[in-house]
This record gives sequence, structure tokens and C-alpha cells, in this order.
Amino acid sequence: MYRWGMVIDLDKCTGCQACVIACRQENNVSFAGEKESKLGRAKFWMNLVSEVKGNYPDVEMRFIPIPCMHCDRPPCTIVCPVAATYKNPEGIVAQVYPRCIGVRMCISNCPYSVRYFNWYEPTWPEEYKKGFNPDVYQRRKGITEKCNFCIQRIRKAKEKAKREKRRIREGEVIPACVETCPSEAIYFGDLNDSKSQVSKLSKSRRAFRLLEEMGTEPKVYYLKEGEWNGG
Amino acid sequence: MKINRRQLLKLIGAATFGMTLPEELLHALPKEGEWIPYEEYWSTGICLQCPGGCGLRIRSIMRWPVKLEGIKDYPINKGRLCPKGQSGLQVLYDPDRVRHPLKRKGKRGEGNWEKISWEEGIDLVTQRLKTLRQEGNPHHLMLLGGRYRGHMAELMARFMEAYGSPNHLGNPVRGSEGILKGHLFTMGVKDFLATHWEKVNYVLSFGTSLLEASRPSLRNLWGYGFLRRGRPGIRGKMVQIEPRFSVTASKADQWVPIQPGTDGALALGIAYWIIQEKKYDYPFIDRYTFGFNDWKDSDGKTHMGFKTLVLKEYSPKQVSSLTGVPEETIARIAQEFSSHLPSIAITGRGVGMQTNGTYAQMAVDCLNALVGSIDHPGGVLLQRKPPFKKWPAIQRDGIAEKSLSKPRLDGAGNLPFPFADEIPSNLLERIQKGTSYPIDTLLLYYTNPLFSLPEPETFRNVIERIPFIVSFSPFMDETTMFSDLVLPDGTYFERWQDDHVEPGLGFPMFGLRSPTLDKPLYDTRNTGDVIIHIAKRIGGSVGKSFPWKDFQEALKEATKGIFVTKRGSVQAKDFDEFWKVLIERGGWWDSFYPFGEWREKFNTPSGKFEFYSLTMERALKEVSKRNRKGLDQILKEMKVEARGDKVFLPHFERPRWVGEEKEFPFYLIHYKLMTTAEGRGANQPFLQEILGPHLKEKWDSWVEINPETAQKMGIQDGDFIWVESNTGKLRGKARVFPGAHPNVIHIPYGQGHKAYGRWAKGRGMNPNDILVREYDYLGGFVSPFSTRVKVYKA
Repeated sequence: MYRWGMVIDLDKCTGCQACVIACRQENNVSFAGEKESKLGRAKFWMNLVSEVKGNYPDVEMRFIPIPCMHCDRPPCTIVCPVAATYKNPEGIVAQVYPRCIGVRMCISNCPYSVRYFNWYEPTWPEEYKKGFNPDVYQRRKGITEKCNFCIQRIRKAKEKAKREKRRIREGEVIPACVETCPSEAIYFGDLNDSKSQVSKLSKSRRAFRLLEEMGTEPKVYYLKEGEWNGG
Repeated sequence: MKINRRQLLKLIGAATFGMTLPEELLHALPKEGEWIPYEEYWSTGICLQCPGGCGLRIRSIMRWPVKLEGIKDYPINKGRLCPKGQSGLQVLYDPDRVRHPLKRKGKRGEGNWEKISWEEGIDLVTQRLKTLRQEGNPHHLMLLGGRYRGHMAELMARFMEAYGSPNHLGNPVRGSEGILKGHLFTMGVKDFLATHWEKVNYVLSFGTSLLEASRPSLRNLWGYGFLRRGRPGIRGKMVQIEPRFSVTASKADQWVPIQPGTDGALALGIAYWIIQEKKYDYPFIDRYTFGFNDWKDSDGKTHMGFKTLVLKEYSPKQVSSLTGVPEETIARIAQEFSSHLPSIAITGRGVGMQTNGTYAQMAVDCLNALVGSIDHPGGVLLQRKPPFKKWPAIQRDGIAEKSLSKPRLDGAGNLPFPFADEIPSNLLERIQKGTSYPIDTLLLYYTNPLFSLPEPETFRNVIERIPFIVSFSPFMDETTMFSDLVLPDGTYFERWQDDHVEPGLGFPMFGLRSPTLDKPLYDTRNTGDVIIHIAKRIGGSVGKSFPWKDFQEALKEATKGIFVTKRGSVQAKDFDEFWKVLIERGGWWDSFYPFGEWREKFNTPSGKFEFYSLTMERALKEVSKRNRKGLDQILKEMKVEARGDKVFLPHFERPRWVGEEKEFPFYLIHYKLMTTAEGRGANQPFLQEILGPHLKEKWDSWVEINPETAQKMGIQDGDFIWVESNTGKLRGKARVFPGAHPNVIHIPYGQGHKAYGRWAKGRGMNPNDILVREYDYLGGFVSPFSTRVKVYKA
């Protein structure tokens, strides 16, 4: 059994947001427009969060890309009254769009704010619709959507591996954000495979997870900035 | 050979008929069979969201492109794309693209157009150009080009020469000329230099927007990651020198805030320490440089060398008072820079956007020379060019010969801009003074001066006087709005074009852009084809200069030069095969860089790296002779303060500012965001929605102001304020940002469009609107960071 996980090296991340746009194009995530996005209703399955503090010239600025953490103990799935969201056997916290009835309990229960609600019917100019990814379901008004580690890509890779009667190889399946990252800061792979890069990096001395103390057991690891010390 | 595109792509792009079903739908949909299998294919292209030139792998479903990735082995981007690259399909599918040729119906700028056929459009231009030539006035034609890529630059230059007009303003690096002029005077190279990221240990960046808008962007983003963790156990260090706390500054190990316009002084202060402590690379300086020590010319006259000047004028104490950088910091940077080898000093647009930009760049070049980081692993490299076959000679008839000898309308090449390649910003003054001849027709190719030039209003005054303006833009931008005829090009997914890479690798490479769609989305035509067509219609020597059916054929001819070398990433038995593989791979490269070859023969009078620029000395003497004016007089006209040997050595000239400090207490420095880079991304909603992540700004622009400054003026975060210079004012939202220099107002560049489609128009402000034109006369460019402003609550 695979157990998909991600590692984001903040020492390499440049805050460029290529991952953000790659995700939107891959997953047919519509843009919210000026008014709605200023109300905080833009959907970013992969979201770059920033923090600026200090006084000139002692200023600090941090960027951190935040996808769904795909918690091993997800607080979101247990509150869904219609079982529209669940943790699949490979550890991906997935959303069954046709089942979702827009209760939004999952959104309020997610400590990472990585679930997004469709307050309106997604709007696309007619011309843009030619560029839809046919592998990804179109969402409608009133349902919740979120990062699923580009499950459509995983699925394709699994079909191929099955045809060839083998397991998915390291690096064979990568979500859109990982594929595009210009500074190669994001890694993706099977945490169950002790030889995979994500496995090794997740055990690095630089590794940490967000809000670890909540016991959600995220499968997205971060590596902090700093000197070389054992990984 | 005629290639059926679809067949070809199927061959090359692993065409698959796939049944796929998102896992989450398994639970909702009864039968898999309800899904329609689709045809998927992959093709290649080259991105054009910035000049980086990244290789694209384009995923198409049933004809339509749906996703962009990078070409895995393409050296400049290694399979990766930035957010602009990822948003590229919003360029292709932009609903506000120009869909067919247009002729102006109403008043200029009104936006009242009549749809016409390509035949009519080409007729209109051809007739006009033919008449001009018959009247003996081909020099009345002006071409303003911008983002030329690959052979388009040569094609357009060829057209202008064969037609007979000297008025080709076609600088693809507008805004970065200072860097090129600096390199020219020290190393005799008119190009950017590549950074050898694979080996560098210490990066000293003078205001380079390395992680926002450098060139080539992807190579540098990758380089940053590699510097940090690419080599086990080695974490390279980066120091960012810049007045504003940018993204690059935030990711650097050390940020050194500096007084605007004083980068050159700091570089010389660092040089002082290195020379004083004798930490320079003596063998390199001895063997490969000229003018480090005092020297005697052939008349026996002694000239000052770099060492003498630096030790006399740029002690850390002196430099500290100029730059505001503490003496200890200068010494520490110098110590690190000269000991963490290989180290490298790089610059960006900031340095080149001041009135002293050329000298500042020369000073930074000298730092690289001091540590021997030129043409050396981990240093700056010379970008080698692919061995293209030269096109046949341009034919010039008597009319062309005569008109080409006319003076350029923009005054480039004459005092006070003897070294300028072009000065579009200078056109108004030249025309107002009364030039010897008028402009009759203006062609615009991939440039939007009414948005992108400082003080665009002055350019409006220029083009209002031009009777006939033709734009080849795929978009209804500000300048195209103002034209009389639009002959729209397709986007970069719809045309044949080669694409050079910006210096980043050193070794030769080029990309090939081939149409992704079997025909353009709309009734558009490749401008390359259109120019060839027009040339043929004009006929005579002009037509003969274009012996090709279309642009693709011209490209094929040029690439034959590469085919015959049988080197590099694509090699084949015959040319057809070569061309086919070229399309499949997206380009050609030969990843061998001959370290140490360039430093043996710099293209300078001394053949060496010139601390003392003989290149400049000779050129200025030439100008003096041509204009029958003494050197001092020339320097006065070019507003160079130094005299004597110092003129030819890198030194610090005080930057000139426009606006009195008393009335206008702030400097206005605009900057670029990763999302907009060149101001061309504003028509893409994906980019608008992630515009400025550091302040969580989107769909808008803003004015960054230092918190203490804001408090003193009673300005709160989010208040609307006026930013006023002595040429105009802008109203914008104030954002209190601790990274803003206390004496500087920062505005991101890219918004404030008055046209350019529904998402760009009427959003935010364009800092160019209030910039005052000042120049680096030596470098021959407009210096956009020379404006002082005042701010007050709106």
C-alpha cells in the first residue's frame, strides 16, 4: 500500500507561486475575481502564505506554501454528515463532490484552512473552457473543494503500473505543484517506501509539520531554512 | 516537406487514448463506460511570458492545449515553469485578443474599429510603403520593436535596411542597457553574462531581482535552490544590496540596505578593502587585465590605474558616508567575497536605472575581475551563440543607400548620446526642436510605449504627429488602441519562431517555437510571414532581400548552420529529420562551455579585461573628432562630472534627481513582482489573483511606505494617498511596509493599464505616468529611478 506524502524545503522555496498557478490550471480551479478575492473567497488548493514583521532595517519576511496536509487523523472527515470527505486507503483526504451538500463543517474544523467553498457557480470566460483538464471534475456552487495531491495523476500512474504488473516507481507520479517548482523545493512520493526521497527528508533534522501538537499527523512535511546539519 | 501536424505530434508526443476517472467519482458514478475517451497529445513550444525563453511541453486534449509543463531536459528551465509560465494558456485563450485585422473607423484611441481582410490590411501598408519609397523617402518609416525573439530581430532589421530607413528602434533590453554598457566598457561584450550556479559559493547581488524578475528567470530560481542545497554539505551564501526589502532580500543570508543610486560607490569600497588587504587574484589581474596599476602610454605619459583611484577615493569611511552602509559591513562583505571563492558579483535593473548606471556596472564588473571570477567555474560566463547559418546579404538599392545615410530621428549615436543604440524617450524633444524630416509611418512590434516608457504622455505627443501607425500586437494594448491599422500576430502557441536564450548557461542553445494548434485560434498571422509578404509586394531589392516563402523557411535556412556541425543535442542524417527532431525536443543546445577561452582574448583594445577602459577612451576620442569638440566639452554635454583618467575608470558619479529635495522629499523606485515581470501579465486573472503575496495584495496596485514615515505623516495602512512628481500625480492605496526605505516610495510595476483587455484595464496605477525622464548619457538610456516625489493624503 502506498502512503503519499509531500516535503517542502523552505530553504529552497523562493515564494514564486508557480505551484499555486500550476495547481489551478491542472485542477480547473476558477479565479474569484477582484471583489470576491478581496473578501478572501479565492480558492487556492495550494496557497502561499506570507508573514512580514520587524522594523526597517531589521525586517523578516517568510513565505510558506500550504496545500492540504492530508492528515492521518483528519479533523475534517469526521464532521461530514454525508461522508462526502474521507481518507482513502493511501492516505489522501479526498472530497466526493457529488455527495457534498455544503454543510461547511469540514471547513471550520480544518486547522490549516485549506478547504475552499464555492460561494458562487465558478465563472469562466467561454474561451478558457477549452483549456479544462478533462481528468478533473467541475465543481458547482455550494460545495467544498480541496487539494487531493492531484489524485487524477496518481490514478493514471497506478493504471499504468497495474498494466505493467509493478509498483509505481519513485518520481513516476508527481502533483502539478511539484512538477513545476522552479527551485525544486517540493518533493512527493511514498512515505511507506523507506528509500523514497520524501521518507528520507521527512526524517531530516530540519523537518517539521504544521500544528503538530494538535495530533492531526499531517503528511506534508516542511524543512526549515539553515545550515547543513545532517540533511 | 509538408508535415501534417497532427500526425507528427502523434508520432513524437506519445499519443494515448486513455480512460481515466477521478477516484472521487467512483463513489458517485455508476458506470465507467459513461466516460468518453479522449485524445491526448503532447507537443513542445517556448514560453514568452518573459524573455527567459523556457521550453514548454504542452498537453492538448482534442486539439486544445490544457496544461503547460517544462521540457524535462531543456537546460534553461529543466522541466520547470514559473507562475507566469503556468498561466500561459490565459494568453492563448484571452477573450480580448485581437481576432482579425482591424482598421480604425473613429477617432484615434476611441476604440472604434472596422474588421477588414488580411488582403486589405496588407494592401494598405504596402501601398503606403511603396509610395514613400517612390517619393524617395523611405527614412520616413519608423519601426519600434520590443520583445524580439530569435531571428525576428534580424528579420525586422533586415526589412528596415533593405527598405532604407535608419529609424529602427529595436532594443529588446530596454531598461537594462546600463548593464550592457558596463560590460562593453570593461570586457568588450554587448550582452548579459551567465552565472555559473553549479559552482558558485558566494553571491553578492547589487539589487538583482533574482527571485522576482531576473533573466533568465527559471535558471536563476533553480540556481538559488541549488546554491542552498544542491551540493551536500555546502550551503552557498547570498548577500542582497538594495534599498527595499524585496523577496530576494528576504531569502538572502544578509540584506544590506543602501542609499538609492550608490551601488557603484559600495562596489568600489569593497574593492578598496580587497586591494588594501591584497586579497585579489594576483595571477588573474596580472595576466588578463589592463589598467589595474598606473601605466604609461606610447607617448610616455603616465595614467592613473584602478588601484590608485580606489585607494585614494573609496576608503570604507568615504564610501560609508555615501552609501549609508556601515564601515564594518563593507569590510565584512569584502572579506567574505574575497575568501568564499568562487564568488560572484551580479547586478540587476536597479543599478542600471540610475544616471550613474554605466559606471556602477563597471565597478561591479571590476569586483569579479578582482577575484578572478570571469570565465571561470563559479563565475560569470560569456554566453556563446549557436552557429546559425548567415542569411544571404541584404540587397540595397540607390534609394535605400541614400536614405540610410540620413540621421536617426531619435538622435541615438549623436551627442549627448554618442553610445546609444536607440533613445525612444528622446523623440519628443527632437521633434519639437524640428527634425529634418517627419515620420510618416510607424510600425509597432511587441512593444507598448504608451504604457512602458517613462512619461508615456510625451510619447503620445510624438505619435499623435505620425499620420499612419500599424501595430502587430495580438492584444489591444494602449499603443495598439492608438494605431490606425492592426495586423494581429498570433500568440506564442500559434506560430513558427526560434527563440534565443538569455545568457544564463554560457553554452550555445536556442529554442524552437512551433504552432501547437493546427491553425491559429483566430484570423491572425505570424508577423514574420507578414513582413516577408510585404517585402515581396514592395518588390525590387526589398523583395530580393527576402528569398524565402515564409518565416519558417527562413528559420530552416538559419538552422542549417547548426545541422552541418553535427554537434549538440540534436543530430541527424538529413535536414528534414533534423528539423523534425528539433520540433520534438523544442530546441538545440551544445552543453560544452570552454572555460578559460574567453579570458584569453577579450574584445577590447588591450585584449584584456579593462579596469581602465580603452574602449571608452577610444570611442570618446572618436566622438570628439567627429563633432570637432574637445573632450571636456563632450563630457560636459554628457553630464559626466569626472575629468582626466578618472573618466575611463569605474568611479562614483553622484546620481542626478529630478525634483527639489525640499518639495519632493522621497525617491520613487518602482519594482517588479514575480507575477507581472514586464507588465504584460496584467491581462491574466490567475496572475492578478496572486499579485503581491508579501502584502497579500491582489487585483490592484499599492504604494509602499515605511511605517515611521507613514506615522509622521499621519498615513494609516490602507489610506488613499497622492504620489506627486513634477510631471504628474497618482492616487493609490498606501500600504505600510517595514521593508520600505524611509526615504523611498515603492510602487510595483505592471498595473495601471488604460487598455489591454478586461482584466488589465483601469486597475491600479502605472508608476511610469509620473516618472520624469532623466538619462545616463554615457550609457545612452533613460534612467527611470531618478524621480523625486511627495506624498500626501488623498
